[in-house]
Amino acid sequence: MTTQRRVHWWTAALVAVMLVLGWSMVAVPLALLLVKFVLYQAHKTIGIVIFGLTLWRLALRRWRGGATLPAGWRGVAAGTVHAALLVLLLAMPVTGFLLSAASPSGVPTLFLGFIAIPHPIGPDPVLFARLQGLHRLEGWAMLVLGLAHGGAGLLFHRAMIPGPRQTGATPG
Amino acid sequence: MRPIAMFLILLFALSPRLADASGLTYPVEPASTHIRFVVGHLGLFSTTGEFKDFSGQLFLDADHPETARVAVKVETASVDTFWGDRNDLLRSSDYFDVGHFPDMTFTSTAVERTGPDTARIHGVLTLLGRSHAETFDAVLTDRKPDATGEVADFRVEGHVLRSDFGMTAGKPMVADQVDIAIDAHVRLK
Repeated sequence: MTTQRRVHWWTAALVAVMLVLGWSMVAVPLALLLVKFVLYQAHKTIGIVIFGLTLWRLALRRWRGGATLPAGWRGVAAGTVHAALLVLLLAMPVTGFLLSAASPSGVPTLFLGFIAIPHPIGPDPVLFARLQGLHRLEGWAMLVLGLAHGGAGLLFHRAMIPGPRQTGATPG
Repeated sequence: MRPIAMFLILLFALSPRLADASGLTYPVEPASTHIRFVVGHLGLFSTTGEFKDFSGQLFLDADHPETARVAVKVETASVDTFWGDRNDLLRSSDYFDVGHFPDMTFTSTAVERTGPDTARIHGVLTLLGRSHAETFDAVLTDRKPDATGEVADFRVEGHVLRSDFGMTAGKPMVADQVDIAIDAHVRLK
């Protein structure tokens, strides 16, 4: 498996974990402070990792080229979804980080639970509410586009069988 | 509680006019006083808060701080940590239980002078129906004349263990020790 494929699948797995983690951590009552804290810091840590992995992927894509897409409208659709997913993979960690910084809770962002990442802005309840809404929207977009991307990938892969695999879509 | 402490508390609570008689009694009120606290979280970060509603009396002869007496009643529901969800949690039965214990009180039992501008205030803090002896250190940070007389600024610091009052929720995420800092501005008579 190429490095690009490895990074693709790592990202896919981490995004799946993040969606579950994100939606469950907000549902944990505040009274369970430690559980909520650990889940949030895990979410923040994975978000930072995804951001780094995505930058790496973009660099690899530039050096080695992107996915081989099918011709016609399918290729255009796949390319659009890929681009949207890459934008989300970079935008979600940024909005997540900024909403953490703007949160009136004042809880720091601790990579791996103990390395403080300085917040560029302070608590701001209005901005926090807006970023929270945006982050949630991005989460839904990630879920829908991720499913579309995965579904299309499966269909494409199946269409290739029994054709030579190496001509199939290569995650980039 | 020691009988003498109980006596002093009763004396102060029941006989405010006694202190008034000297003319050196000042109100303890949000306009001139700030009661803040800080509590740590796993040594990683901390939360700062304050109490917005409280009332009390301070008897103070600035030249003889060892004769000072103070009694304060704090409305526990006025706790503010600048985040509504956290305030609601703190007001819940797990923490301040404001429904059953709407206030906490501090009444001094003795004040000892520890330096030219410092004093140690011994007293009893009653919270969640439990009383515990506490000590706070006071510093006269400023004393100067102004247009209408003389003003003095004090900072009073100390820490309490919330477990002494049965407040154990949130451990270890919320530290047992709560640091308290009170700033008071007094227009001296």
